[in-house]
Amino acid sequence: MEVHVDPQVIHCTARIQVERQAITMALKDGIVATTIWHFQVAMLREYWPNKGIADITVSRRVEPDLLSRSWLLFDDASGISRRVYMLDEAISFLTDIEQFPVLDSSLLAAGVPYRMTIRVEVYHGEIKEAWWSGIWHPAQAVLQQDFKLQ
Amino acid sequence: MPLIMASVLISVTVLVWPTAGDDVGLLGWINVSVMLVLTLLLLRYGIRLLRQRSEPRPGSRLRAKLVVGLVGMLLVPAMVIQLAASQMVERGMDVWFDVRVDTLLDRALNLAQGFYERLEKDMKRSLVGYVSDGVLVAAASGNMEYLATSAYLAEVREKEGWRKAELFDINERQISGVQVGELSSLEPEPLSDAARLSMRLGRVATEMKTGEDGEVVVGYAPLLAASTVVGLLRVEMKMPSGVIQDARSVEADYRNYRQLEHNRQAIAQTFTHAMLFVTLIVLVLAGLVGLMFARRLTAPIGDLAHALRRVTEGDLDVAIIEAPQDELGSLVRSFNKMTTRLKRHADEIDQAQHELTKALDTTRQRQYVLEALLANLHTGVLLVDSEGRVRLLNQAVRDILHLPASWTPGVDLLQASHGNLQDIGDFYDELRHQHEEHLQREFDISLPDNREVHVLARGARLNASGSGFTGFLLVIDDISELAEAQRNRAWAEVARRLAHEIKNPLTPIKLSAERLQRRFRVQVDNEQVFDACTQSIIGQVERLQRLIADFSTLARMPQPKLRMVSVNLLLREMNDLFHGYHRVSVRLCDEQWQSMCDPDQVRQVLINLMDNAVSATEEGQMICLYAGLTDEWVEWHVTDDGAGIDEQAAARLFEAYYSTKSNGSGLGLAIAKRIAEDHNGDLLLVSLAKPTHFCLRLPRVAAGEGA
Repeated sequence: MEVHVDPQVIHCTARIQVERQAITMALKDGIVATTIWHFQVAMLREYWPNKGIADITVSRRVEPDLLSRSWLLFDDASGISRRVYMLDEAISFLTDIEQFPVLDSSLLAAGVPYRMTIRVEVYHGEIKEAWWSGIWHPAQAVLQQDFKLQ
Repeated sequence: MPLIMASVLISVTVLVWPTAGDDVGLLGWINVSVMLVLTLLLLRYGIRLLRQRSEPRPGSRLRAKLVVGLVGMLLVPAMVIQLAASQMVERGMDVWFDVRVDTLLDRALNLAQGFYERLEKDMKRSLVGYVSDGVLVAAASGNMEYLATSAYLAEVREKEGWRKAELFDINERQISGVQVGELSSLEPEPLSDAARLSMRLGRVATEMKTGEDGEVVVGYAPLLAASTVVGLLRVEMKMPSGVIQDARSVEADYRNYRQLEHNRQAIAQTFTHAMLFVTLIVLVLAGLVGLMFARRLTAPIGDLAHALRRVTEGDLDVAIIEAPQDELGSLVRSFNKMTTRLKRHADEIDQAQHELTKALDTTRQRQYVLEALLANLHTGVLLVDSEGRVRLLNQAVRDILHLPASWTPGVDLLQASHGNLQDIGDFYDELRHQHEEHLQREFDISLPDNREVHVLARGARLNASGSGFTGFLLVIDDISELAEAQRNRAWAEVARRLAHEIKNPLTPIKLSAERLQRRFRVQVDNEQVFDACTQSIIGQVERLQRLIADFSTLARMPQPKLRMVSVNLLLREMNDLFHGYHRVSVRLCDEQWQSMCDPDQVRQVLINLMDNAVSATEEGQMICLYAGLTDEWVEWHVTDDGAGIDEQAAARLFEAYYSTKSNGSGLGLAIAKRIAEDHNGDLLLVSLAKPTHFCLRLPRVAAGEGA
């Protein structure tokens, strides 16, 4: 995980190593795979719980098309979808985040320590819409990095 | 048993505890929670039973056995069903995911994929023929009219069976386009990445698209003029809906199958947990029903046990009100009858006990009165039964006769009366053999301390008329002092009469002897014999006069005139009186010592004691007179180193007219003792010899006299 502090926007680049094998197997078998990325930015405090600044959720879904041997990539947050014919591209779509803009730098104060936490949940198959389906689903990966505005 | 069940349950909980890789969801955690709660409840129940092990609550153990039995009866079949169901699921999974099904689905998918590939290949083959088509190249280069271009495109579309055909120049501007249906439905669409890639690489390409009216295959053919791409032909062909639908169904089935296979373990676990959840619910319900049933069943038993415990503790005011209409109810009613009868009997026993206690108290009270009376009597009492055994004797008879310790109630009187007590046995023997009812005797009894006591014994025969007791009552009185007083009185009377009869002629006899001496001394031949005779007469008369004076003194002993007298004063008088004897030593004392006494009488006693000491000693032997003081007494001590007094003489030393001296009257010490006793004091012989020690002890007057 890497946090890029730009003058205007805080970007994040991250990659998860876990579950890549399972995702590959699922996509080859035509099973839908989804990764949900929870971005949290909090101000570090010594004696009190950290103060939350931002909380963003990004959902990425890949639907295999077995007949055409292609994979449809869906970004549920933006509604953009595209078709790819390379499995590695589909897996990278799920497991990699490149230069993702998390929040505006104007929301942060200079010199104050912050912590960005990413919790990644990986789902195989269609996500059930029932309210209890996500209660006991733990995060497969948790990434953290502290940063400061100069 | 609850603890064993709890341990089993916790073991099962550990076995089914969800791990990180399990996908059991909420149901697994619900099962674990229910099992933990059940384990805690069983542990608590078991610990409570253990604590009540020594004294369990009434009915609790029976209730526990019923509940455990009912749950246990359900637990075993439930576990068997659980295991069987798990096995069935495993077998079912093996059947569902059989390799033949797997192969079949793979082949079906291959067929569907082959159909798609075939469509694409056909389209590519068709498009390859138009890559260098002169008309289309001319049109893409802008060298052809729009209408002619459209007509050519329509002809080609019609020929190839495409749904849509469009022509673009190198700048991606649409030159012309035709499609099936109305022209108004033709809408220009920007080129996709695949189309651009096809133009850039100069290769024919296809791609799939899904539209509102179904799936279409889109083909791209770059138009080449002298190896230079001048435009792009884009065509669409609608895939046959029936076949596509089947192909998609195959794909969906394949996907579902793979999804199920992927979740095979999770499905098995979910099924297992669902079964476990149902089993747990059934067990909890069975436990609750069992508990209610057990409570209902054991409540009368608990009441009975509680009531029995109260009866055991002596509380007979117990009755069980609620009684069910069954065998337990019959038991409860029988118990109530039993307690009622017990209470009635207990009341009767209490009444009888109360009356007996009252009678016993009266008897004891009488006995206490009798014992107190006997203990405070100065008269000795002996109660002897018809068999000659002593039944009762008081302290007074022990004190009077100095009875040995063997004289206790139950002792045979005749056997115990030996030695100095022989007279007591003889008296009893005479009493029981005589015909009279009463007997009275006086006799002397020698005591172990060489004293003799004169007792008056009276006996009476007790008949069984009133008290039911047959025996003899002996009453013993010490009348030594009474006898001595009577004797003293008799002697005093004798002395008074003797003094009266003898004293009167003695004076004329003495005067006549003196006159004879004065008148006829010169006329006799032998003056010496005459003097000796007359002096002897005069001396004997004077002795008789002194004797008579002593008799008079004993007979008419005056009452002492008490006053405070210095002890030292009397000592100094004795010192003055006897200082002529070198062997006499008088030790003076503190001047503050005083005594309430008659000084004349005390002086007389001291002179008597000193005279006796002087008579008993010779030169070289010592006589000592000194005083002592205690909290209660003032004492004058006279000691001498004379020959001493033998024990036989000591026993009678203070008796009147008993003397060891040839010329003594035997009244000196008797009078001295009488004076001491008149002062509420005493004259004691402390030691018989070496030294011979007499002590005159008189009461001192308290306060301010110094120690």
